[in-house]
This record gives sequence, C-alpha cells and structure tokens, in this order.
Amino acid sequence: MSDRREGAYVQRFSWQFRAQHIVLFTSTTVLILTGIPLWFLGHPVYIDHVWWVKESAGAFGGIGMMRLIHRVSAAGLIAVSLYHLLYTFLSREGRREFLELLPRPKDVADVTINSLYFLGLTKKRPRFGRFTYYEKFDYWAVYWGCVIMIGSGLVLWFDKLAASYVTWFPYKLAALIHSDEAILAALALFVWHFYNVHFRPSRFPGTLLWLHGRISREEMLEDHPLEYEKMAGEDDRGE
Amino acid sequence: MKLPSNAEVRMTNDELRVELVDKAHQRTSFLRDVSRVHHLSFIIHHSVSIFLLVAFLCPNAFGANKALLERERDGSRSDAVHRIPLYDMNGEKISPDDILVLPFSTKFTCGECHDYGKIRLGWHFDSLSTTTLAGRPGEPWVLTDERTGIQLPLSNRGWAGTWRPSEIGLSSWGFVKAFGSHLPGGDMGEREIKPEDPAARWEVSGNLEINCLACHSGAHYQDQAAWADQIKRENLWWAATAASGMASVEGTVIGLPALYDIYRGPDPDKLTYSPPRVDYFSHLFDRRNQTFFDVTAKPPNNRCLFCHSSMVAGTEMWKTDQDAHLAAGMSCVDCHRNGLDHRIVRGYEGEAAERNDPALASLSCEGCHLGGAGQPEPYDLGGRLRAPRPEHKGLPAIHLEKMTCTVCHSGPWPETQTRQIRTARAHQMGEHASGPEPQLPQIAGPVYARIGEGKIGLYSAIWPSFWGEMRGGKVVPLLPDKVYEKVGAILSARDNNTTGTEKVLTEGKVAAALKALGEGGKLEAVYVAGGKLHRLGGDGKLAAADHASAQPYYWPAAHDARPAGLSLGAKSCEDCHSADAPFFFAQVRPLSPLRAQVVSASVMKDLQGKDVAVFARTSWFFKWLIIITMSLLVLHILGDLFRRFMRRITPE
Repeated sequence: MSDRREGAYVQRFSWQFRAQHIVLFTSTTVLILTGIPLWFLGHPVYIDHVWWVKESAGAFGGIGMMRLIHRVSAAGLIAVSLYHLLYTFLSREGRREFLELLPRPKDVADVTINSLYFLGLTKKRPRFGRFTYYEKFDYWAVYWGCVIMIGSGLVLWFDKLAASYVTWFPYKLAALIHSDEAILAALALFVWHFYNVHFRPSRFPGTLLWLHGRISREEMLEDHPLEYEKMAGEDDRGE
Repeated sequence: MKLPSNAEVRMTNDELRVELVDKAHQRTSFLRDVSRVHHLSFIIHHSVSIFLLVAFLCPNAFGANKALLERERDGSRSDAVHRIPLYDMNGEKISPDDILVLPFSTKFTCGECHDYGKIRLGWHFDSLSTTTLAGRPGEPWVLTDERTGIQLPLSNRGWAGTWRPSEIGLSSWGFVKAFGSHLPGGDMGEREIKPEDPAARWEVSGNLEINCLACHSGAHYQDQAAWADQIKRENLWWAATAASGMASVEGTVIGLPALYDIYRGPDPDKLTYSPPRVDYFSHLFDRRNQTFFDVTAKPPNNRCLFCHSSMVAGTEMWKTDQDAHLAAGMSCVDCHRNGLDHRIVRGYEGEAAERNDPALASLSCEGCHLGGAGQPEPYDLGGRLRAPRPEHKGLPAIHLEKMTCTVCHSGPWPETQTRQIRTARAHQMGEHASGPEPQLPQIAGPVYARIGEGKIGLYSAIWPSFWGEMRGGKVVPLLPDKVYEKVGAILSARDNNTTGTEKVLTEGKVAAALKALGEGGKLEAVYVAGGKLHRLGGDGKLAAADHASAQPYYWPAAHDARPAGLSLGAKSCEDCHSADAPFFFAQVRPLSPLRAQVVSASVMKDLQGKDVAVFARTSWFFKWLIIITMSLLVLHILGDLFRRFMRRITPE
C-alpha cells in the first residue's frame, strides 16, 4: 500500500473506475452531439432557422445514420450502467467506492462551511475525505440522469412495444422528458463538471486524471486531506 | 267588431304582431308576424282577418285549457289519448271540408295544452340560447358542397372547431334550406339571425315551427322523408302537416311572388306557379272535426333514429347489429330523458355536475352500470333498469381511469385504418331520395383519441374543407355559391390527368382557383382541406401548411354499444396490447375532397398522448429543475472562483 503515496503523485482511481468513466463520457458526448440535431429534426418549425441542423445531419451521413449512431451510443450507456451495477454489488472495490459515495451528515456540514467560506464569513475550508460533496453530487446526478434518459429513450426507441405495454408512459411525454433532462445533463456536464475537473484555475486547461487516475500530492492535500491522512494511517499500519 | 280584452296589436321597430296576452301569467301567444310583408294594404287586410279569428279563438281555446297548461302530470303512466281539433297558424280550428284549409300549427294545436314557450327552450330547439349549456361537443351540422369541395362543421353552440352560421354569413333562411330536412323545427326556423338574407322568403314559406310529431308521433305513417321534401319546396308551414300523414300537400312555395296571399289562393290569370295546397284525409276527422292525434309521451326509437343514425359507409345494413340496449328492449329515451322543458339528458360523464343535478349521473354509462358516490340512493349502487354490473375481472383499474366506456364497448370494430362514417344528419339519410349518394362530407371513425384533458374516448372526426380569405392570420370562410360563381368553371373542368372523364379536385385546380379568387392580389384566398391550409406560393404552386382552422373536429360517438362479450379486450389483452393493434396503431388519414400529392396520416396512439395536465406539470417540473439546479451550480462556481482569487491577492 505504501506505493500509493510514493513520488509526486497519488493513485486516486483504479482502471475499473476509469474504464467505466471513459465509456460513460464517450457515449454521453456522442448522444448529446447527435441528440440535439435529432431533436430539431423532430420539430420542423425550427429547421429553417437553425442552419447547422441540416449540416450536422449531413456530416453524420444522414438522419438514419445519425439515429443509428445515437442508438449505438445509447446501447453503450445502458451497457456501462448495467456493468456499474454489477461492479458495485459484486466487487469489493465497487462496494467500497459505493459506500464512500453515499451521502453523509458531514456532507451537509461541508456544504454549509464551504458556502460561508465562499461568502468570506469564515476562513476555514471544509476538509474533504475521498469524495467531496460536489463529486458525490456528480455521481448521483448520473444515476438520476441514466434512469430518466434510458427509460424515456427506450420508450422512444421501441415505441410500438411501449405503447402496448407501458401505456402509462406515452410517447410524447417520453419525448418531452427526454429532451428536458438532456438539456439539464448537458449543461451540468459542460458547465459544472468541466469546471470542477478541467477549468478551475488549479487545473486549467485540463487534466488527464480520467486517463491515468493519478493526482498530485499537493492536490490531494488540498482537496482530500482526510483521505490522504487515512491513506497515511493505513500505510503506516501496513509498515 | 270588438277585440277581445286579451288581444293586442304590438308594433316594434321591425315587426308588427298580433298577440294574445294572458295577463295573469305574463305570457303571450304569438299569433302572426305580419311585419315581413311590407305592404300596408296587405297588413290591414290580414289584421282584420286575424282580429276576427282572435275574437273567435279566445273564449274557446284559451279559456278551456288554461288549467291543463299549468297542471303537472297527475302521476298516471298511461299516455293520454289525444282526440283533439287541429288549429292553423292563426289559431283557427281546422275543418277539413272548408274550401280553404291551412296546414296545422303545432304552436296552436299542441301549444293549447303544452307550454310551447317552455318547450322552445329545449335542447333541440334552442341552439341560439345563451342560457342552455353547450355541454360536451356533439355532432355538428356540416355545410357541404360537392361542386366546390366544401365540408364545414357548423354549430351555434360554440364548440371549438366548429363555425357559427353567422360567422360565415349563413342566415337563418340559408341554414333552414341547408339542414331543414333533419331539423326538428323551432330554433333558427323561428328566429332570424344576422345577417338578414335578401333571399329569405319567410313571408310565403312561413316559419318552421317545432314539429312535435317528429319525435312524439306514434303513427307508423309519420314520414320525415315527406318533411324533408316539403323543406326542399320551401313549404315550411306545410312540412309538419305533410309529414304527419293526415293530409296530402301539393304545390310549392318556390316561384311564388313575395307578396303571394295564401288566403286568396292562386291568381287564375297567373298559372305559372303552383302554390301549396292541403287536403286533409276527411275520414280521420269526426263530426266535431276532432282527430285522433297519435302521439306518445316517450318518443319511439324510430323517431330518434331518423336524425341520430350512423353507419360505416359501404356496409350492408342487414349484416350489422343494432345498439345492444335497443336489442335488449330498451328505448333511446330510457336514458335520454327530459321533462317538459325538453332539456334532454345527453348521458355523458360530468353532465350531472355541469347541470347541477345529481340525478343525471345515473343516466350515464358509468352511472347506470357502476353506480357511484354522489348519486341519489339507491342509484349509487348502479344497476339501474337491470343494467348488468361489470366486474372487469383482471382489468387494471387504469383502463377505467384513462378511457371512456365507449372505447371498448361502442362503435364499429377498429381496423388497420379508420373508415368513412355516414350519419343521418350529415348525409341526409332516411330521405329515400333518388340519385347518387352524396360523397361529402367525409367523416372518419372510429377514432380513439384524447381531446383536451379528458379521457381517451371514441370519436368521429371531420377535417374542414373550405375556401376562405386570410384576414389578419385568420381564415374567413366563403360560402359555396360565392365560390362557385367565381371559380365554378375551373373546379368543374374535366381532369385530363386522370381518366379523362373524372372530375376531381386536384392541386392544380385549387391553385388556379386561388389565383382567380385572389382577384389579382387584392386579397389572399386559401383553401383548407385534409388538415392543411393551402395557399399560393411565390412560384405560383400550391403550398400546404399547418393552421388552426384546418384542425379536425372530433365528436364522441357513443353508439352503437356492443355487449360485453364483443367489447375490445373480450378476446384477450392482445386486442389492444399487441404490436399491430388498431387501438394504438390504426392509421388516421385526413379525409378531404382534395386529391393531394402528399397526405399526412397519423397513427392512433399519436392522438392519445396529449394529457395536457401531465404535460404541463412535467414541463413545469423540468423547467424549474434546470433553472434552480444550474443557478446553484453556477453560484458555486462563482463562489469558488471568488475565493481562489481572494486567496491569490491576500494569501492566508
């Protein structure tokens, strides 16, 4: 265990975690890129006013190909979601990470202290553990988003079966929910998540954490001091 | 000559009337509107005649039956035998042997004992009323013209998707001419709406009084086809008499001079016209000139069905079944009841609340079969008139919450595509007229749709087709004759693109007609059909677009009810819940006279998901979820940036 803190970097995420994240963000990005023009194409009244809709359909090889790419990406999202559930419940690492990600009273206290800190009402910053409250927010937001997007997306994809067996969830309602939740997910991803992981001053213009899973010792001490101390304690006991 | 004390001559701005006034009850009996004859000598001549009639009539008619008018029914369930005299429109007793006999007037014959003024406010006779609830949308009157490809749903009740006759410039006269064959009289047959019609001939045709016999006749020889024939001849006064089977009516008002005097008879020097003449069958009258007026308090089904029949076009009647309720021995009026006010129970869910009368709830499908809270005891138990109480075993309750009873239990069995429906009123059924069957209007059904926030219901649908003028984004319809006058030659040209003999309304013809109607750019003419508004594009070709005026009008089709064993779902859930079940996937093609290159059909399920309340709540939820979430996240980012900046300039 002692090698986790050796050198200037700390290994924060395992390959399992990173692989799932890569499939997740790849499929999500393609879903957003294909989903926006598909939404416009389903609302002909806007097509003539948004010039790039037809251009983007052409770039993807036509509407049919764009829809196919969207559905292949959706299949990727569904697959990684199911795999993550298996990973969470069947692997020791998955269970440990899941327990770390569960909301706790300390998170409420951290939100309060951080808010006071932002307002200049206190000079103390909250001391975070393995996951900060906003990282936990990101994690659970993906849960919420996946349930809604996959559920409504399946109704749109398999419309005939859905009309027969899920009559309480009509097609048009699914389309409304799918597009509204997509807007929220895209905004949260590109504004909030990207700021926290790539664009904040200490990381700008970006980080490869998602690829190698390591963060610097300084960053670990700055953002996850409790986790660092816990790792130190474990390592000391191991020695 | 002395006027009776209760007779008055009243002159208003636009009419001169002679009325009997029952001062004790503040009630007037309209004797004759003589204002429509703008000829002073004519008025004087007839006024004298009418005064004489009044003097004769008052002590006889009103003195004897005033008590009857005011008395409630005594509780007897037997029908009263009506051996009564007939009275003409002047209130004069009819004697069939007189040289000049007039048609009988229901206002004076039936109105002698039954309050005509009260009945006149009933559902069938008061569409112009502002006090009668319009209620759930019903079947409209459909103005059709095959020459110009017009099918326009009309109603005075203000149902969304219909046009008021006055909005399109259709006068009372025009309305009666167009729809009189299936009007029960009264309503626009007695009341003129604006605009006044210079072509109207009320002076010689008379008013179209409520024809009580159209519903209440128990005689097998009551003939509504004869009524329709009289309307075509403009013999409005004579129509009820001809239909009653108690007299023959010859002649026609058409062609009579505007000042023709029915009391004088034809001018022997002018035999170019044939005025209406009544010949009562004298064997039907006794020595006192009384006749057996074969009426029944509960209208027989046959009377209702003349106007309220429908069928799938092209089906043979003998292969179809009648409504399960009628087959079980019930009659229409067992459910569609009314009191003297003739405000008939229409039988839809919610009617009891709308009319603030809980007793009506048990006369809807659900109320009668299932009962329910809020109904007077014992009808809250359901099972009225031995109505079976369905258990709906194994049927998830959501079906009853989301759908009307008629979806599963009424209408023709659904197929892969909606079919054309013919209705009595829209297609002049029952007139037994010769000639080709009318092709218009084109009505589609069965349609399973959710209209507004209600349940998914069983509907018939019509897509308006009409020519109009664009004014401020709205379409103002043009009347058929006006269209035909201007572009009839274009529209009736033979179509060389097809068989060479067929006359069809093609896009090319419509484009040419729109150009002609546009009068060189003075106005923008449009043609609405098949769910689209068609206008001339910059290239001179027809361009189609969506428009509110092109939206279909749906009305519930409650009958014919099928027994439980023949309902949707009786075989299995797969009746609806399968990949090709018509309930969800039948094609709904807009029907129109226009042979369009592209017709946008929809699938039934697309008409069922518009649960406005759920949509509104969902949209509201996500809108605020996005606003609040993103606001908090952006504030968090700004807070973080601010502290980082402060730490940089003032290190801790």
